[in-house]
Amino acid sequence: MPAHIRTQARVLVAGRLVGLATTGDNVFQNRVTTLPKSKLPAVSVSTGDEDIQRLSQGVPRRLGRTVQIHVDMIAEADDSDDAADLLDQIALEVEAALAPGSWSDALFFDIAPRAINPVFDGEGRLVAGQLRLTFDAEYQTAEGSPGTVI
Amino acid sequence: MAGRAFAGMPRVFTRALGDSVRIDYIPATGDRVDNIDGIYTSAYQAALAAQIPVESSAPMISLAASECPNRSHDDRFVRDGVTYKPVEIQPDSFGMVVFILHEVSE
Repeated sequence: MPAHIRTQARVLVAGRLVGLATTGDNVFQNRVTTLPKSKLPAVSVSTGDEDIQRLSQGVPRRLGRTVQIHVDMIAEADDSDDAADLLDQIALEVEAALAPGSWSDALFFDIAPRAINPVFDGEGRLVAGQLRLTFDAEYQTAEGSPGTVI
Repeated sequence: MAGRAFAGMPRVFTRALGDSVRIDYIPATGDRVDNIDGIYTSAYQAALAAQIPVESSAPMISLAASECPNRSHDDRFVRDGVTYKPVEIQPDSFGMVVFILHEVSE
């Protein structure tokens, strides 16, 4: 049985983000453990809330789904201005990489950014910042078969 | 009278408890003090603890107030090849001053 599309989406997006100019190979999925300095700047990909609509009444029913894909960008810098600039640079590279194209066609009808949320923390030896860039990714499955797009 | 009796205490503390690693104090105004007597600590601290945490630390140094009469946020400290800037200066009114530090990559 194929993995849920949510899993496939994370793998696809994380793979797409490997090798960006600023974050390089520091790409994680569902990261919750502490990041060492040697792994910064970094991005972590996770899937969030998902809306599901019934699109047909047949058996099985066709489901239209919109999953939120979170790309969390984490960086440290000397001060909050530099941290914001660095995170904005990473966001620039992430948004460019995740623009819809042949890479996304096999899984998504569409993928588009919907929100950006910044957080900064000046308590450590440097200013640490996290920018959460949330995308809406649309796909369809048959009811009972969430691992295969139709 | 009491103030005079305890005037030397901050120096006693910083000399007795000071870091064995050399710390140079570079005030924005005034003379540089190489190998200043100060109490340096850098305890572990996770930054962005409510998000995806980042390993970090909380460097700070305590000096006798008399050692840094012109203290400012433009001062610099150098310890073990790393330059620090004060982001917060906390005089305690008992003759000691705590500098909360951030690393500087200049």
